[in-house]
Amino acid sequence: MQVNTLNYNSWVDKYTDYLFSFAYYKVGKKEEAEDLVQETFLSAYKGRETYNGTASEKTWLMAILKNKIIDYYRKPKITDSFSTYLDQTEESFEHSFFDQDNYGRWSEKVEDNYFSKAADGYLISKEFQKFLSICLEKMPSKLKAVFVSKYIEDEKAENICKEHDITSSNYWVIIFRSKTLLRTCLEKKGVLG
Amino acid sequence: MGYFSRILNNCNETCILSLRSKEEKLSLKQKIEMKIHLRFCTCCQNFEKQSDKIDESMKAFFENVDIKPPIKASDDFKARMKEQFK
Repeated sequence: MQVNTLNYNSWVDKYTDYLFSFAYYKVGKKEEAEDLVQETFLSAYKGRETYNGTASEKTWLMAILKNKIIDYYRKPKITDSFSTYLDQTEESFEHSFFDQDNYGRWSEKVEDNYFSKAADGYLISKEFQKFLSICLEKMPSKLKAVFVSKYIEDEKAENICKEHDITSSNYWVIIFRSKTLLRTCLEKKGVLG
Repeated sequence: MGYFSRILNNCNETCILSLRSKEEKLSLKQKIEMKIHLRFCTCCQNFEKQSDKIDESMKAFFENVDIKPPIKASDDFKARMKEQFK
């Protein structure tokens, strides 16, 4: 397979939008999505000898990009340990979502429940997935890195704990907080449109 | 606080147990306490339902990019990409 500068330019023309769009939805930031796409093209260009033409070019580039995204989420970005982070944010989390005057029970209104009652297929509709990407973007990066690992490779708790060097109990607290923040954001989106 | 009062008011713990129960085997004690709480707490029942829906939508989010509105990369970015191989 001969890949020269000419082919490279035609890849950029043909696949940049597709790859960029995918990366953007995964990381939620324009600059970071651009970096990932750029790294993908670079790796593809360097590894062009290994492309044997059995998969389509698009599939091949996507496979490279997906690996870049996995690495992106694995990069430890913040130096504080997870347990310090969880301790420091515990109080504000509990004050936001639990009613201290009522034995610490949920303080949210039960009737705010639009998306779990939504029609089949709504959760994978363009509209809902747009809300989801907005809400993911707003999540604290510390929580998001762990939470997203759960879905990006459909990994079990044990592996994610090893990767991020966290205890199992901290892991479940992170998942719990992430889901709590996410559903609150999603309910708001649903109500506000 | 008495035993039952504690069981009936620990929303926080119950939700975490409910999340864990999807992947791990809980002890009998944990399982019973979770079930009792859930039986009486609409907030936690609600959380459980929403949690499942979040799983469903997050899976779709990472598996299927075609259902999302496409976003175009800027022309400036494309030009820069071509530039790096000149």
